[in-house]
Amino acid sequence: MLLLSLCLLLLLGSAALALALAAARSPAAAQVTATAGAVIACALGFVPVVRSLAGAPPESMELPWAAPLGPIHLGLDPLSAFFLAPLLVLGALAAVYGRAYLAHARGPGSPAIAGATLNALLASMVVVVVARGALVFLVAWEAMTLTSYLLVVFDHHEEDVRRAGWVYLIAAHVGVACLLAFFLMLEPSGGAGGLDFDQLAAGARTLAPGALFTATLLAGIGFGVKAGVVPLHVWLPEAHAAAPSHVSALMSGVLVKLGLYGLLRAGLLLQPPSAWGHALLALGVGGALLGILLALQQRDLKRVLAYSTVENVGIVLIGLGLCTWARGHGHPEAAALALAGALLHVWNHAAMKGLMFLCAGGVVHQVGTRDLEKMGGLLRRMPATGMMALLGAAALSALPPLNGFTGELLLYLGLGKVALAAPGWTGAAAALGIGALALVGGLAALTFLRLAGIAFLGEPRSAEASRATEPSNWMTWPMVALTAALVLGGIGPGTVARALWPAAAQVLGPELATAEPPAGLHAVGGAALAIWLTVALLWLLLRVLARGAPQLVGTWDCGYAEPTPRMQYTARSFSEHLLSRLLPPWLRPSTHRPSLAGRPFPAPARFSTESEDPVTRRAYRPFLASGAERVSRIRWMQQGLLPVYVVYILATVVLALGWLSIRQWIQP
Amino acid sequence: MSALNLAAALLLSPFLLGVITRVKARFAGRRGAPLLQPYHDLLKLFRKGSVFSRTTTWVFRAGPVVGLGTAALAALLVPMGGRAAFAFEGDVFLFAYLLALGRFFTIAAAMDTGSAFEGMGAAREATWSALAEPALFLSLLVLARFSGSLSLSDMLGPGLAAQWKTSGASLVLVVAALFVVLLAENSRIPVDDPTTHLELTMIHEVMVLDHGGPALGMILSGAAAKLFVLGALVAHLVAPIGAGGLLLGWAVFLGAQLAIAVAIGVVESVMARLRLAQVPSLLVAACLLSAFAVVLVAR
Repeated sequence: MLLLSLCLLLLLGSAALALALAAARSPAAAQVTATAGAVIACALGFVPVVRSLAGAPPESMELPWAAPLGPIHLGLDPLSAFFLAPLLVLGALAAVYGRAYLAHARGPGSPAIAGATLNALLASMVVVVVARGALVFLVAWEAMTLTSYLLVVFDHHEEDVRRAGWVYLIAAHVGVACLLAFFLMLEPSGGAGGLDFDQLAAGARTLAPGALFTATLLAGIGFGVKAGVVPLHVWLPEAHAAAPSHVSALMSGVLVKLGLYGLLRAGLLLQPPSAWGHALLALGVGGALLGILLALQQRDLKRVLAYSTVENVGIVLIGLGLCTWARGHGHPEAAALALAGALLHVWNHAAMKGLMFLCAGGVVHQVGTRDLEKMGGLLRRMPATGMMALLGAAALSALPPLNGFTGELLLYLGLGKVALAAPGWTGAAAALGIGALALVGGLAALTFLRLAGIAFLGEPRSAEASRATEPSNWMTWPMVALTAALVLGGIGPGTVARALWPAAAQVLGPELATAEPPAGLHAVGGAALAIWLTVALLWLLLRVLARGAPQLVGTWDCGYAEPTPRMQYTARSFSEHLLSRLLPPWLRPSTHRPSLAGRPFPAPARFSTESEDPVTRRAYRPFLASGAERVSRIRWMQQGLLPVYVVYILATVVLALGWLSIRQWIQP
Repeated sequence: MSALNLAAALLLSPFLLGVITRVKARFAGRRGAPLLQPYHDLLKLFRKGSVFSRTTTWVFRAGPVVGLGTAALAALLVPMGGRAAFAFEGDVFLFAYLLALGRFFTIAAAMDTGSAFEGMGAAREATWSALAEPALFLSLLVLARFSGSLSLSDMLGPGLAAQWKTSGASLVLVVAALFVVLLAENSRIPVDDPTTHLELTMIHEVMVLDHGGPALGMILSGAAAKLFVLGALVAHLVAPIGAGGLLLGWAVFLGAQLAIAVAIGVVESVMARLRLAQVPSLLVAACLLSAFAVVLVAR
């Protein structure tokens, strides 16, 4: 705990120092301070994390605090360590990358302040994971939302970015309201009034079934918003596309996963009945399918990646749901496999999506747009970034020999165990779940071939793309580190699984925790090595067979003499068949056709397609539109004067105290 | 054992292509090319020089290399006349994803040329294969349910002969679904026409338009190996071997492979290629057949 406290102090201290330096008009020094602070702090914090994952007993620490709800209670157990590991690694890489990425920022945002805010975000995320009491947890959760909001709106001179920031802020506060209610429901009645997790767990056991159901639902919504669980995901693609790329990487790789951490923690507190597994499974399958189908429609490079995060969260939920179901129905082996698969996928996805957002940042930096249709041919111009992006695309398509396959293999094995053993429709449902996962995998390959193929292969589709060059080394090296993680995670999945086993054991409980990582995982690691060797061997063979330098000519293109880059397949045409013919109409992108009829002479006309989230369009917008009408009636409360707001706070406190004393008076 | 499987997949597979061509020729009333013609083609291609497009990068070369490599590795996971060279719980998933890896790089190589035609083929191949994936997984799961194991060697093991007697109906559904997957994955009629002369109607062939020489040789060889490997699944399914030595196993296995090649030739001769818009219906039908089989088995 000592090193972890040092890590926290260093993060906050360097953030404060950087802010002071920025205020003293030395932004370069401020940035270096923030970055160095983040890297050193993450390295310090990583030591206890490794120790905990290697089997060290849980640690905890209490700081006295004069607040009414008890001392500050922090702790480090395997589950916390499991989520801290990607947080600290990706945090350090994002800090290094971000300094170079923001160095040439053109907007009004200050890179130095962004650096300091990033450190504050990292600190609040660390506290979220190590908090052992609801109060500290909620304060850190809110700090995490606010600091990440500030980073999302870094380019706040753009209207889209401001809008995305608002959506994020509103969604996050709907979530935190649910969490507040959830934690208060669990408060043991008549007890000391503590909000420590241990006391809350005791409180949960005294709840009536109906109240337990409500509490579970509230926790599901509150954490589900952060995790981007469909249909609560609508903020996610907006915020990820708007944020600077290293922040997108951190949000997608870690911040969204903290929603899953919350779900797991709440599961430990509530011990929900296994019927919730069905709900999680359905949400997972639906989310994975919807996420990948929407990713396939996006023109915006970063929105593709963001929707793929929705898909991957769905895949993790499939694992969590199967685990919840299987442990209640006497399939301990399947439960262990599903949970280990879900956790492994959390780590893998942090590396894969972190890498892809960093690559996307490099591309956006160079080409100056996020529009896929203006890219192309970038692999020749940015060979290192392009190669890593292609590997990342293959990993996100769950292909061996990379790490993305290993987590899904465990999920397949878990589903397969149930499909083989369970009688009746449960077995059939698990089998169909495998079919759905296979379909998601195929669609992911389609999505990421489209992304990588259109952006990096072929000829450049714009002048900016043809002038692109490799980004600076400070941006490339963090990508190299993550690529190494993809490759090594593919070769040694058994080792990785053993590292996360303590966390899985903690969630499963001692009676199910005896299982070891399955032998298949080691075999797949061997297969990954075999794939790399076979490819290398055949590559040499092709070299030998080719005998000397190949003749270089233009692309044949069926004999057409003057090909232009505009003749290439576009991102839209690549997914056209699936989108326009196979999807139900409500999932298709909407098209705006010019009306040409009734005009005697030709006039300029525009044809455009737009892919709006169907959940926003069909559910939230009609609902919110009618709500906005009613809410505008209390608009008079918003005065824009500080004293008035202080009066509001005072009135709220007085009312709350009054209510408390009345309650004590009624039931002494 | 592994050397034998590998050699069979790489060396015997072009013969199946020759058989298919011969069957089609006989149906058309011609004598047809020699059965060993694919070997001559391969040797010729491997002796040629290389011509690459200026647009292309290493990805263009990775297509043939990964395609052949993954087909060869998949051959080690499929039982051939006995148990596979490598078998473990879950190898069926590795098998499916190995083929997907090969496809990924074949498609990426096509997109690397920047050609409109190859982009078209790439888009079609990626779309169709996404739809064929559930059919493959679900039909294999039916076999897994029978054998109680997630390893291909058990699923296609000696127990299958007895299963035909007790649950023939679902096995027929599985054979039908797997045969559709086999045709789709290997770019055969009715999904794709390997011999058409019009690039606009092609899928697989149009993706490799720019490849030539040794690279094209690797693609052909990889495609043949893929046909052999996927055919091995169907071969074991329709001709299960209860017990018997290695020799009998291989004899039955190779006989079944030949029969499948003949069946593909017959299908190619008597059917026209489907309109592109109808291909998804065929693949979805295969998914539904296998899903039906799953429900029948799990009932």
